[in-house]
Amino acid sequence: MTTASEPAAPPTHPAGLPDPVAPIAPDAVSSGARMLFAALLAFGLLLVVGAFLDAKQFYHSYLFGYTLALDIALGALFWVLIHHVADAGWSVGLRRVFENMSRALVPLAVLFVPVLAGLFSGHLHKWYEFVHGDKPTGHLEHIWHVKHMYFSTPFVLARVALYFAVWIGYSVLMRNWSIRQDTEGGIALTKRMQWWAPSGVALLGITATFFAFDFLMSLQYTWFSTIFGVYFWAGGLRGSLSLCVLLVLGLRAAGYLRNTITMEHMHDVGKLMFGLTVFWTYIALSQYFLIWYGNVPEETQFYLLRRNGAWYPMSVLLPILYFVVPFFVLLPRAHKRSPKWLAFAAAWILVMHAYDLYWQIMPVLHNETVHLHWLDFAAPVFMLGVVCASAAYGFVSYPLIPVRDARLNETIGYENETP
Amino acid sequence: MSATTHETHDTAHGPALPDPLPRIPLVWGPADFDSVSQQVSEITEQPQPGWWWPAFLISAALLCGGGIAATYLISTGVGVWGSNNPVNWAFDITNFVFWIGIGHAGTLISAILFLFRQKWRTSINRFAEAMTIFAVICAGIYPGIHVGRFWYAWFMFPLPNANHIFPNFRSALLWDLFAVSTYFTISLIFWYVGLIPDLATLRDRAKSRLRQVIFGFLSLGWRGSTRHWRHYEVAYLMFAGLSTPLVLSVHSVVSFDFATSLIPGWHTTIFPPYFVAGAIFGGFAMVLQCMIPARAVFKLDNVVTIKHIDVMCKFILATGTIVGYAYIMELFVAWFSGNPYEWQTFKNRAFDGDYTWAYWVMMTCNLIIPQVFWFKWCRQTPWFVLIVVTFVNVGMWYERFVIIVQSLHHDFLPGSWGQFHPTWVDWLQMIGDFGLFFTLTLLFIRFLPMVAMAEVKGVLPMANPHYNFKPDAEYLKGENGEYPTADHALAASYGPPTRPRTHVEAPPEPVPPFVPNASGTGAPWGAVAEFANGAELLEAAKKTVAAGYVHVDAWTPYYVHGMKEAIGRTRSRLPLFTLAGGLTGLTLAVLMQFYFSAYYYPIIVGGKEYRSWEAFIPIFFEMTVLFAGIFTLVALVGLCGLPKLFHPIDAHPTFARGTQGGFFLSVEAKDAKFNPDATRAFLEGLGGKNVAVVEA
Repeated sequence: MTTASEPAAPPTHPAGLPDPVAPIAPDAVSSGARMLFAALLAFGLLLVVGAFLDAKQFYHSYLFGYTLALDIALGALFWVLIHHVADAGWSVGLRRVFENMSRALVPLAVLFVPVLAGLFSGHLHKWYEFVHGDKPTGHLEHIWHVKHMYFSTPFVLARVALYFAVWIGYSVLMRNWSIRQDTEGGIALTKRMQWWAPSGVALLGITATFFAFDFLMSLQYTWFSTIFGVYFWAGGLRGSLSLCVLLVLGLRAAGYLRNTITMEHMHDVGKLMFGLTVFWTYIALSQYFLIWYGNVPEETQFYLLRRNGAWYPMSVLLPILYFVVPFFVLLPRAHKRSPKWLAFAAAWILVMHAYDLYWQIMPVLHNETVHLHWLDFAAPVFMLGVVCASAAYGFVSYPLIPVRDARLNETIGYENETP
Repeated sequence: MSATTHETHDTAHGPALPDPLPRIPLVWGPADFDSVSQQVSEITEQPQPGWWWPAFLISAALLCGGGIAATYLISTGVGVWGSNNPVNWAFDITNFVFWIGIGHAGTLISAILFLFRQKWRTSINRFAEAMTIFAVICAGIYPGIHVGRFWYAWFMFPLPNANHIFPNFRSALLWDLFAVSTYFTISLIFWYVGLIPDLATLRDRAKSRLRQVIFGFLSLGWRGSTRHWRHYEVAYLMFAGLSTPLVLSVHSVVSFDFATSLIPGWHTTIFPPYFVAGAIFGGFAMVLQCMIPARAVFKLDNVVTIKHIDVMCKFILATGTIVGYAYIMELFVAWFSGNPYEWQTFKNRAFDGDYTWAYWVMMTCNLIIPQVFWFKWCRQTPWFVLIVVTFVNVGMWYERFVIIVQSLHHDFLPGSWGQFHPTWVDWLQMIGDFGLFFTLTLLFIRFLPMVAMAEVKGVLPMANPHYNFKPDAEYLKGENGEYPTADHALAASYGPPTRPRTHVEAPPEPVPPFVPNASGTGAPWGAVAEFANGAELLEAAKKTVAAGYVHVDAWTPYYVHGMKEAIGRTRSRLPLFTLAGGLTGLTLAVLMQFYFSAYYYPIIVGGKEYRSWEAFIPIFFEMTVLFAGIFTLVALVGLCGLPKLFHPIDAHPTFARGTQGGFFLSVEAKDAKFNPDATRAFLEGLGGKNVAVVEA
């Protein structure tokens, strides 16, 4: 699916670009690529070993790592789409980075199989046992009826197929047209991408929401929260932006695109990271606040579970580490324009995003207290490796920026006008 | 911070890359700074058009109806409304939420789109902000009168009653008071700050003494000094930064009025963002509802172009779809939760209840009808847009009606189920609110500039030194010599944009080398020179500073990008005042709420501990923003040394056109290097025209 066929003619780009933008030469990265590949293989093997040692732990850690990678890839797809929706000019160069990150959706579709295996072997989601068991009597009957319908196996599989069809479909469409434009130029493809992108955003929003309902919210299947899908988006948007910052700063540190994606662009990315920090907090607070205030047992169970043992300090620290720290790190203008501060903020948010997902997923396995397992490190590292490798594949195969984008003139030499 | 305010870029300005899809300018046709000033100011300067008085009288009559309804309510009692058990809240809160929501589009346009650098906002932000303020006024009536005993309105404020009990800081209704009053205050400040440069333009254009005095006072003596602009621009950013979370918080707090309760249909976690999206949706509809007729009758279609309407329709589509998402989430989760009470309410609401008709009115108007905006014709045909936004306004009113009345009408016990029947007082009050809104709007378009002139000037092609002025025949054409889209062709049909002026218009009488001042001291204040455009002024300012002058200032009708550095100034320190204000407000909110709720007169509310802090968050936030905003305003006025109603530079014969379209450079006499003759000659050597030394 990842457009293996080489473009017919080598991309031509307008004279006067401030940097070379040709694909990174394979020999320039061969040692790094081998290391990345070896690391992926090693961590993949570790995961396989883990699956045999402790299946329950493996599936939960795997879901944790998987969700981290998936919502970053979905976030990347969102940024690609929203670039077209807004007819943006400043972010043309960054769009290629997001396009490359969204390549991970294809391997992730394959890597979803173990999640389904965990689910259908009864290791992962407790509702599996519930809906496939006998019909209960009394109050549980209502809930059983509903879950029995919603979580019937064909319906679950059909939904998963639909989610990946939408995600892969839109990411491949957007990427292929973007790469075709590298050779063809012109505005026809720009118009086409702009025509398709809005429906993509709408479908992405709906499918990501139901993915979050199906595989995260339903870990406690009697719990429900209407805002949960938005919470999932907010995390993914923060994570994908952070990984993008790290990738771009890494490319710049290695000498690529230094004059193409400048700190003027990164300043804007920093502002988005700051804004999304506040947005995430707003969504997280809305959920917590209303459940706290209402104090209804079927809703508070989510937070009560996260008050057990060491989950409690972890819950208290979540808003401090994931809101207060990045808020003040990203507040000063100078920090958003400094590669070091920005890299720090991005790395911090990425780690905290994993912390947040861990906090959402793991308490259902270890009710009493936090119980760190080596698989909790192996799984996210492997999955992030998949995203990075997918992005790297894009960087070595195609030009580093959309070289003949219709808005290229706006991104090159872009100046941030903030007073 | 100042050391890092202006780093060098990795590259200088980019190379001339091909531009196959030129951006369409925001103002269509030929326009310069003076023409924008004239087009917008004239609406307030010329006699009112013939339809204005009838429209005003009708609105005022409706307003009087509202006044009668309120008087009857207060003199008789709240029983004159249809609100009763179990539907205790009905038209009052529906209208309150409806109007608060209308306001949100104004703040979105003025603040959020500013942060996202959506420069098309400049054509519509003034109108939308004014609407925000009027809508909040309309909303604010209801908390004041809704219990029928308005002399107890002080119960809403954080004041102790006779038993030393303070209001309940854990109540959503008190949060509402803080949120709405903060919102009103900050919106008013933001609107006024945005108006200052335009009020100065009106002052400088005024022919009558009365207008000069009124607009002179209101504009605080604004003259477009770059020393002021550098604070002003940062203050504007601060206000935008404060208003953005504020606007989210206001409708979130309004949603808490419902969502913190345990009523099925009200208690759900998506309410805060759902209400915010709905508010922006309804607000955009109201902006278009007012803007489309105004644009037509005042012939503003070159400023508020069809593309502006197009983009606003896209916003309506996007926010309408988000609201639809929330409707579907509510419905889905009510089912998915397996909670029979939730599902009973939603099944009744959507399928088989007394108010199912209202639900489907809401669904049709808010989710289904706006989907027509996927089609370009529907977005770019004003009369059609007007019809769609009318549906949206109706739909958004029904949304609140459905949430409030339908959720309440089925109480927990079937024995206390009932329906709501509005009385004539309910209707009259509601119609009166529309009367109030349109009365204020009509007064606004009559007396104040309804387009932000200074901001529009800043986005004209001629204001951008990097704008690629092609030969007129190639205007907006792509590389193949054709218009890339139909929009390009349409914009080009208005004619190419005016190029920057290359010469300064000479005054009727030549400017003398020394200009005396009526109350002069005899000593010179400084030398003043006029330049043709912003780019020339920027160059001249740089050269003046490079020549060793220190007390240099540039006077411009809009902020010229890079000018503060050119006159040797750094970024304003004003954000420190904003931060100080925010911390002050936060500290006060913390002390106030903990002291009164946990120590002075501890009360258990909702089974929460005395010191539980969660319920204090809304007021923490609101007071932080309120104080940050007020400090920012005080800092702006203080750092600029305003108000300054008289200034020696006013004596310069052509300076009055500065706020409309003139560019001036001044070097003050207190500069060590200043010499009346040498400095004047120096400025003339830079290409300055109408150079004169003015008396202090």
